Amino acid sequence: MKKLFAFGMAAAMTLSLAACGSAASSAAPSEAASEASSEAASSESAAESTDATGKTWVIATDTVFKPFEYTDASGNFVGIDVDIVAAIAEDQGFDYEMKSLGWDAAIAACQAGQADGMIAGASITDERKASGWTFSDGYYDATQTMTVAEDSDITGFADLNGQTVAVKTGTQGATYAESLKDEYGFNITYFEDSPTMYQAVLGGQCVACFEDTPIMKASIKDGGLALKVLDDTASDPAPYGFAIFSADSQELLDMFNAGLADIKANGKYDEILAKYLG
Amino acid sequence: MARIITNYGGLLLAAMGQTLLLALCGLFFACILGLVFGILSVLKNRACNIIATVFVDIIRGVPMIVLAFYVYFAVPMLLNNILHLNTMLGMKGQITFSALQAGTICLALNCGAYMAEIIRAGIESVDKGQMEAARSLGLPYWRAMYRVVLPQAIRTMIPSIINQFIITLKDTSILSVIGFPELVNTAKNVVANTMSAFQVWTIVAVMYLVVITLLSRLAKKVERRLNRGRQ
Amino acid sequence: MGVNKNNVKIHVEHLKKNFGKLEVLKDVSTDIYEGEVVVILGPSGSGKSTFLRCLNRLEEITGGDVIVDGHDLTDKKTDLNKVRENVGMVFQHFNLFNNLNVMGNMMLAPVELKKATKPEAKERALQLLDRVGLAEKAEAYPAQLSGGQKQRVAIARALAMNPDIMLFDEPTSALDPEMVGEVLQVMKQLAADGMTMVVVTHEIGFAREVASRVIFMEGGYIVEEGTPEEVIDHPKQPRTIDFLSKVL
Repeated sequence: MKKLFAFGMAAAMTLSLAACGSAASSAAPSEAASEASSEAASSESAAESTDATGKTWVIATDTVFKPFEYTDASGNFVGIDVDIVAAIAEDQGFDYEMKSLGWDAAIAACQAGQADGMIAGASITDERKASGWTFSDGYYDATQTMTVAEDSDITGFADLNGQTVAVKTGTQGATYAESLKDEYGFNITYFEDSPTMYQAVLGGQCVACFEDTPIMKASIKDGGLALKVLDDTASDPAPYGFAIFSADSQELLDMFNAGLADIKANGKYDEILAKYLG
Repeated sequence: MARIITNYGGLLLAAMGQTLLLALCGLFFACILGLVFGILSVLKNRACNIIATVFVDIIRGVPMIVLAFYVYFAVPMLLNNILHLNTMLGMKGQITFSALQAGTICLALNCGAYMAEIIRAGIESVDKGQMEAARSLGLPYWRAMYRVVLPQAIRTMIPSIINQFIITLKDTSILSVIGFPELVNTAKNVVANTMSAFQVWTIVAVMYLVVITLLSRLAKKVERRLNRGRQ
Repeated sequence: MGVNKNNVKIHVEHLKKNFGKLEVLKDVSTDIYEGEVVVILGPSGSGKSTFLRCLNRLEEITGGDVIVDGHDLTDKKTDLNKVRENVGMVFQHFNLFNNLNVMGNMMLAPVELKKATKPEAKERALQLLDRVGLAEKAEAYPAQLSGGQKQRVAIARALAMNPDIMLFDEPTSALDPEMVGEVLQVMKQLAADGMTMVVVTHEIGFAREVASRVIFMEGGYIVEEGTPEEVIDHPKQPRTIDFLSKVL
């Protein structure tokens, strides 16, 4: 009886997980397919041109990291990462499935072998490499800037002494803030998503936040936020990379690098950046 | 795993300290709220009963993650922009809660509502003859409550209270969303920096397990001491 | 010692008590004098326990007057706690405070209400426990006592406040038969010492032996009252006769 119950539980859990997985993954390609724009190649169209092994690569990503991945007003899962993967897959002729799992779950999925790679605006760092990750060539150079409330008196890092700034967990902005923290004597609060981080600055809980420059500017414009970017606080650019954890995914990484070089050469890459960054 | 422990062990331990600090602050005020609303719900007074019921229903009906956003963001906005309490108090800036203050309020409200129910049930489990006997001797209601009913109620409540304390300790992780640097919030940072999800979450799980096991043991000891010589 | 007809301890006039729509006491009037031992008999549901509980206002009074030692219990200005200090009550289910030992039970009210210092209360408690034959149980917890012992402690606890009046609500109904005697013995002793007592009970023998007056209640009214001889041995009302024929 006990065993039967345990089996039932396991079955139920498997079913519900499978349901979740398919819901999350199908959202991306099917919606993308309905999009008219040609550069947003869907996995379905990619599926027609199957690669030699016939393998469908599973690529994990974040849920919201605008403009790299997010759900647009019409409910389509879009973004720079999404379009770059689509373009590269089309160029290299491989089959893939995009799973929008969230940052933490994407990492775990790759480590557990449930995904073959992840693309989620992840900066290429030595520490991550030391944990066993392999990164592609950089596909985007990110600079970080400090943003404050529109009516703030803060003009630079020197004004941060004793104050608290907001960052988003796991971002390059967080790393940038950490590198400045001791020198300028401020505290850091880590939020789990960008909207909460912006709200903390708007609400006065924190005096400033650190964010990717183009992302921040896009968010201010789209959301009509009462925030201003302090341009001269920008960091040196650091590259984002596509990452794999398992050596079995080396083939995918190689295809990504080759495809990236191709789309940079044929102008598709610039098209995608222009589409999202204006 | 060893590399993560060497590099981040201190950070995670400090975060566990923050978790315990937040849980302790939350529980302290939760006990007060629980006692107040628990007693309001057993008084023979309809207005008091309704106040207690509304409090418990609202808090139980709202997920703590929503409560956290409200307390951290919406309440200060209400105080500053609508009630203008900051200018009334002659403050230059805005009234804000620190993450610890907001977290304490959330835990106190959330755990307080459940404590109120535990305390109500505990008081109701004491035979009403105990109160009658005390009153028949001339003891006023509150003194009878304090000297006779509550001591007996608390003994029956202890297992539920311990349970609630443990739930509250784990619920502190929800306050990661308002940036309180407790264990889960810090762990997410470590996961991001190292991109080593399983190793970090395993360390976190073990830390929670150790602390909660120790606390349960301690609580059992207290429970046994309270029960000694009674039966 | 006997009944002092010049001193009315409890005056009850047109007492009414409803529980919601249910009328439990319809119209009860009587006077209880100093030194009287009044035994109230009646079938269950007759309102006799409710009547007793109105005498120290453990029940809210719906209508009429209850005046105890000159204090009107229906008057909002009356300090009920002060009145209750002088009216001891013994319950069917003992209601000893389970969180306190026997000594704690005995000392709680006198010390809390500043009737005595701790040493005084302790000395008095030991005397009373000796009187009910339980001096050696001072440190025991209620759970360690038999029913008869619990009830004797409960009587001693009520006496610790030095009350003028003692109310007994079916004090032997929850006891095993072999323990009834020890409790009745204590009550008889108390009656002999001249305590004003109102006793709700089914012990006809106790009523016959100890009561100075027997009241027979049914349906929320006093049906018949008088000496034990009048009410128990020569009842006049058919309902009294009917009841007694069933219990004797």
